[in-house]
Amino acid sequence: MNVRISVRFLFLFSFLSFSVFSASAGDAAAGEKVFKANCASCHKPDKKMIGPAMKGSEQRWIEHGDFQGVSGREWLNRWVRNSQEVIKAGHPYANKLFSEYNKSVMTAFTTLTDADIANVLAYVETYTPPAAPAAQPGVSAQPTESPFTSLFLYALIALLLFIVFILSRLTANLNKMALQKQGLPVPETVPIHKNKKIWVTLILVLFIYIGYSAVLGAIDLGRQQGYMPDQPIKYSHALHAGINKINCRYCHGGALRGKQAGIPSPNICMNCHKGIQEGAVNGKYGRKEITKIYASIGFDPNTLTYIKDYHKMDAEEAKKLYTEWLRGDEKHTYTQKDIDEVLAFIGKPIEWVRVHNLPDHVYFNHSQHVVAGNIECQTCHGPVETMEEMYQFAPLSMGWCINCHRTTEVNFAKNNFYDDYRQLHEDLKNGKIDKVTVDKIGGIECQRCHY
Amino acid sequence: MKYWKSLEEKEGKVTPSQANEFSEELPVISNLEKSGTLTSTRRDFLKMMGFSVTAAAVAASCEVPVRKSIPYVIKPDEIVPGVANYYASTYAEGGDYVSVLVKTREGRPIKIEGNKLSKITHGGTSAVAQASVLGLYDNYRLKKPLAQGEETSWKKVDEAIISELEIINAKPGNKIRILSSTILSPSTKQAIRDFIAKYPNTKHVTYDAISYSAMLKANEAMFGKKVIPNYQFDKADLIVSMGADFLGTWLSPVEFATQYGKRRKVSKENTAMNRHIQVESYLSLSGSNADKRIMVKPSELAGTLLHLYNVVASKTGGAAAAHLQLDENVKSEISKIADELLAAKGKSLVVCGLNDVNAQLITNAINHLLGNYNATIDFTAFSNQRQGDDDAMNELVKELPSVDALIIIDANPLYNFPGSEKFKEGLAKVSLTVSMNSKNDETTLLCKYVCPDHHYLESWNDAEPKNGSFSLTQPTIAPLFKTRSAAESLLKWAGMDTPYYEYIRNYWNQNIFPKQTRFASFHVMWDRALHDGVFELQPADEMLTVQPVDISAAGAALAKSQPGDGWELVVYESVAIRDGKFADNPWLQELPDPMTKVAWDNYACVSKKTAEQLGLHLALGKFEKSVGWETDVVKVSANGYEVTLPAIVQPGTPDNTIAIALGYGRELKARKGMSGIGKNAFPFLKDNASRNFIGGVSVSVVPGAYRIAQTQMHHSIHDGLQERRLVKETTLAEYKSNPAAGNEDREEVKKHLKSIYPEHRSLKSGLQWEMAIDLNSCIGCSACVVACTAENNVPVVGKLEVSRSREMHWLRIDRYFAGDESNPSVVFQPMLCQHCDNAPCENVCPVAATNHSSDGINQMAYNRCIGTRYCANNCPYKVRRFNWFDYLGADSFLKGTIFNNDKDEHEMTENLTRMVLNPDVNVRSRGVMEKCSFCIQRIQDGKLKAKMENRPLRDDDIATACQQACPTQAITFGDINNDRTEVYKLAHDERGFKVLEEIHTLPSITYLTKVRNKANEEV
Repeated sequence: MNVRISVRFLFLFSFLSFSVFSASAGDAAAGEKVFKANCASCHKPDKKMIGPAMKGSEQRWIEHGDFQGVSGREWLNRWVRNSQEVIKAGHPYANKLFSEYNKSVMTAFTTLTDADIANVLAYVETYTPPAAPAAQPGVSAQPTESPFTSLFLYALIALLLFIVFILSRLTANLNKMALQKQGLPVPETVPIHKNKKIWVTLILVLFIYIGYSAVLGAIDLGRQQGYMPDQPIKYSHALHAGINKINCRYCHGGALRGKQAGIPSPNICMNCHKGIQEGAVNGKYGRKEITKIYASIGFDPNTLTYIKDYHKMDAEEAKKLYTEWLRGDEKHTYTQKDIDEVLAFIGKPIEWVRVHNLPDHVYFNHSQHVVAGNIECQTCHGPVETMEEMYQFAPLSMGWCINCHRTTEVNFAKNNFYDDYRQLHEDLKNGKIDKVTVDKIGGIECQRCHY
Repeated sequence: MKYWKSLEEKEGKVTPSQANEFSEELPVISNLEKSGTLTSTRRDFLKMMGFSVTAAAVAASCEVPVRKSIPYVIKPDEIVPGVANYYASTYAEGGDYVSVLVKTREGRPIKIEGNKLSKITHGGTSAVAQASVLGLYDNYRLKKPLAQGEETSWKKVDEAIISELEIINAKPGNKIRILSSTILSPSTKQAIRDFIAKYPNTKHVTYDAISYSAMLKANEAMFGKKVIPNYQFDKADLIVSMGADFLGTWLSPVEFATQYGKRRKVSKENTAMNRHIQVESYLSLSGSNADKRIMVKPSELAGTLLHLYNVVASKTGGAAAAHLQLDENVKSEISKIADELLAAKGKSLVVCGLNDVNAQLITNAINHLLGNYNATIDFTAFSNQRQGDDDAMNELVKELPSVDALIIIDANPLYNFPGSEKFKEGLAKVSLTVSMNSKNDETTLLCKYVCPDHHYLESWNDAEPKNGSFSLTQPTIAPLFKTRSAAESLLKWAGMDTPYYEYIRNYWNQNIFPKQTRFASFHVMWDRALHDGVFELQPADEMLTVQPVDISAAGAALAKSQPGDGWELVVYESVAIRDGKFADNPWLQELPDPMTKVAWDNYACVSKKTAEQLGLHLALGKFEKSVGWETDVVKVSANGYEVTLPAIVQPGTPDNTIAIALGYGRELKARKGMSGIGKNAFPFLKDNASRNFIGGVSVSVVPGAYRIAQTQMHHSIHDGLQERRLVKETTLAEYKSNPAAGNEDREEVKKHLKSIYPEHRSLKSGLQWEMAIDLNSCIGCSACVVACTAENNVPVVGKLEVSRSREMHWLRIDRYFAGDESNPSVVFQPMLCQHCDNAPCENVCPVAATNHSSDGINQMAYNRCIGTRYCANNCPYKVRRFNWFDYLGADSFLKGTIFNNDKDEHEMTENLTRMVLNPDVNVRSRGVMEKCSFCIQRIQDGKLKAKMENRPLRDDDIATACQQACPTQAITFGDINNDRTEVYKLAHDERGFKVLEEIHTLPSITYLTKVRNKANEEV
């Protein structure tokens, strides 16, 4: 417990200290927000991504000097607001940049003020890459009972039992003495191991205990609450959903349309990872994890292009490409095992391990809950935004489903579908009932989920 | 009126226990008794229990298996896992045409639905079209091209065929022939033309197993058009069919059934119902729906037609034709029909099923005299659905020994050509034989090269079933095997490398696009056509010019076939197996024939009198415990061919007549037990004209009994003690004066309904699902039964199990006879779970596995069921089905252990076949009860759609599988608490009644009284 707390503190502390440090740069703090909201998907302050590294960009534009009587700095502002106009105007540096980056058009940020841009530029100048934290957090967010509490309880129970035993021996002896004093016959003492009463009680207790745990075990058969399997890619929900605040449905779009939320296909990953080539989980894995996606889908990170006819590409050639890409990383060194792990992904779909499993006889539909029911993903999946590794938060048992259906209110007034339930509407109006829960419209009946 | 399901029942020879699936003792007890080891049962029990507990403990302590979730690498935009996609396509097999929507899940087709946009089939389907999806997942389709029986590559086979073709082509006077069944695809025909351009000595011969050649010839003679006209049954007030089973098998049954169904919908506002008279010599689906059925011997059909012509001609001034001797009763009946026809001039339709040019000429003449051309029959939207030319085929067989190359596309003459022996001899002499059939069938086995065609669900194609009506077939799955479309093969050999898809597009661009005005750009037109599946052109009206035809000569020729005295034989197509092309489809074999209720066999149908004369001592069937029904066997021989077949007594068969279904006795490489079912009846035919009457027949009884899987007495609601009114009927005249005619007792029944139970419907205002089935428009075609099988993963159990009353169909069609024993009237009643509000099954379940939902559904929780079967015994409708075995591999992990419960007679549990399963419906395991769920998965899906779109449910949001499949729209489903729904209207109709309403089960299915359009004197 103590260890865990200290790790958390350390993590928090490093985060805080970093914020304090950046805040000292004045408008850079405001710039950071603007940067993360608008620029971060294509730019990094210190590295080339889809667009150039932004550090020094102000200097580069200024250095280029006036053009058509307008200063380089002002051209930069115009560039940010609408790069295509600047290119059309014939600004030589703008045109050079445009062709250098494969003529990919930069999004026009017409709403950014001069001050915003200045803030962003201030932020990128002061930016220093965060240092890897000293300790590996490996936080298990599972709510576990403290071992100390239970140990204490067991000790207490043992102590009390001991006292009972001592006291019973004591009274027995006292009784014996009293009888002796009165001169009455003293019954023969039965040794403990021959005491039938004790044996019967013990056996009874044991029987009840075994039965109880057998029933509990049987009920739990096939349930996997807390299941946290190793995944083929060290993917962190805490990073993507927590820190980067990517909407769940961006990747799990099926949740809006049908039964399965779906695991995103690599082409969805590539929407961002075309640019982001290095893992951010404490920088531990370097390029390794993301290169697995590239190897699966056939993306050449050197040229930032997809490989044509990847399925026909020579396996050795593909292996060479990704091995060299990993070896080319200056900040990390990869063992042969690491590299082999990545190469195994070449041309293959990614085989994720399913965390949430329902038995075959259960029909569950995500869109029913997410769209029609307006249920947050976290209600069933738990605090995903804090999970480094995905685990099963809820028991996914029938009792758990039914309890929720008993307490969850239906969007009765707002969804026109429920117009047909006239009696319930009337009851609501008359105050007979104050809300309509899922069970009131049949939500706990067998064939809503089993067919 | 007294109704009966079989003669045995009518005569009281059936005891309730014989009709009961559960009458058989469990083998456990009998085995123990037999071995006399009853003393050690306790020990055995303990041993077994100890073992089970240990096994369970071991199994439970194993780790839960790791399940993978593997996303696409690049997900196709249109696929969302778990959401079904529908693609419009076309089922076109040997001229049979149905416009369909293919339901696919994660890229695999799992269900065929009707396409409502089609102006031909209007969203109707047939049993065969419904079952076609199972044909896709068949491991016995050819997987690669073959050369001399050895698997080879396309490249090698192409090279070999092209080089042989070129050598043949260089030879002067060479003969190359393409033999195909009817091709509806204009692009394939264009490909054949391109092939002919390269090899100019090629001739294309079209041959249909069930030929309509005589119609083509008669129309050519009379109207100068060698086509089949456009029959419009919906425009006819009076339909007279002379042996044409137009609702079941004739020409285009789905199209005609939709038209027919329209005119069978009777309501107080619309009583303009058609009248249907059928003259026939075996009980067909059409005959059983007719308002009046005249039974004649096979040999008399021609004479009847002639007589009809003569009466009509005498009253309209037409030339008289020859007469044939006829029974006086039949004569007077025909005269009456003629009068009726004359009264309905221009609003009647006479069709004839005889493949005889003279008969067709006479039929044309009758229609002409009645002024039906350009009224109920036209040549504007003429039909392409049958193009087989018997003369050309006979010519081909004659010249076959001198033919150099024969390319066979989707034809199997060795099995179904009359005189296949001659064909076989000729075929052996052809140096280059290529078959494009997709199975290693009778003909393909003898071909040098085999270039298997795609299944239609994996192929591009087009179709023009009727002049101006186009239709597209699009692939819904990548080809499972290394097959290639037949047209593409032809193009390849003609030296064209265009993919067939491009070729079709080009064809449409050049030939269809210029003829239309709706679209300015071809791409828009193509996309539209592909989306809709159908594309209509407005063909120019064809003016009919009638050429003088010597009717009397035709009559005289027809009159030559004098009725004989002895035995007569008629062979016919059955609704499920048709010409036998899909006889290896387990769904179709398991489907009981609508008329005889026999599955997994063909048989000799005889009349009761004939059976008695023959001295069939088991003529009425014998019931054997644990075997089911057994019948006698007869040997039938004619035209030098003989078969032994089980004999069944089929009311509606003329005396001294044997009726045998075609399409059985296929010998091909197929699923286990799917080859050689029944006996082939094609060799009885001398030629293609003779299928309606074969004379010179001898019949003898063969000793022995034959187990027959006849379901007519299974799950019988009749208890034999009481007269129950399960079906109700009236006549149109009575209905006009009293809308509740035939249903008068319902008010009385309703008065007595009282219950000690509290009112079940707690949610009078919520959704309440009910169904209405119109007995008047249900024609018994059984498309719904196969649709239900496909939708709900209903297992195939095989013949033995069916004969023990263990068929699993959730929906059966009860067929009731009434009236005259020899020529009864028929009522079809689809029987499925009635979803009773006072359900007797619910009360007796000890574990509450079956219970009632708030929206009126009798729910079945399979995982709760412990298999006591109390519910099935207590169900008055006998619609609950028990899984005696694990038929679909639900407990597949037990395979190879002593707990293996598998019963897979026909390879339905192999991986490829299981791809047809609907992933939204459970696969039930052994020991579990199941039954109709009102397609709960479709209900939930429809509700969810409405919820997500934030709107109340619409009537068309939910259609059950049976409803969707029905060509006559006899089934309606919806919310009974909403007075705007169709089902509300029908449930409150005066014709509405519920089955066994008097026992107060409060069923959710309303049946509508059957109305017969009878002439006054028939009542």
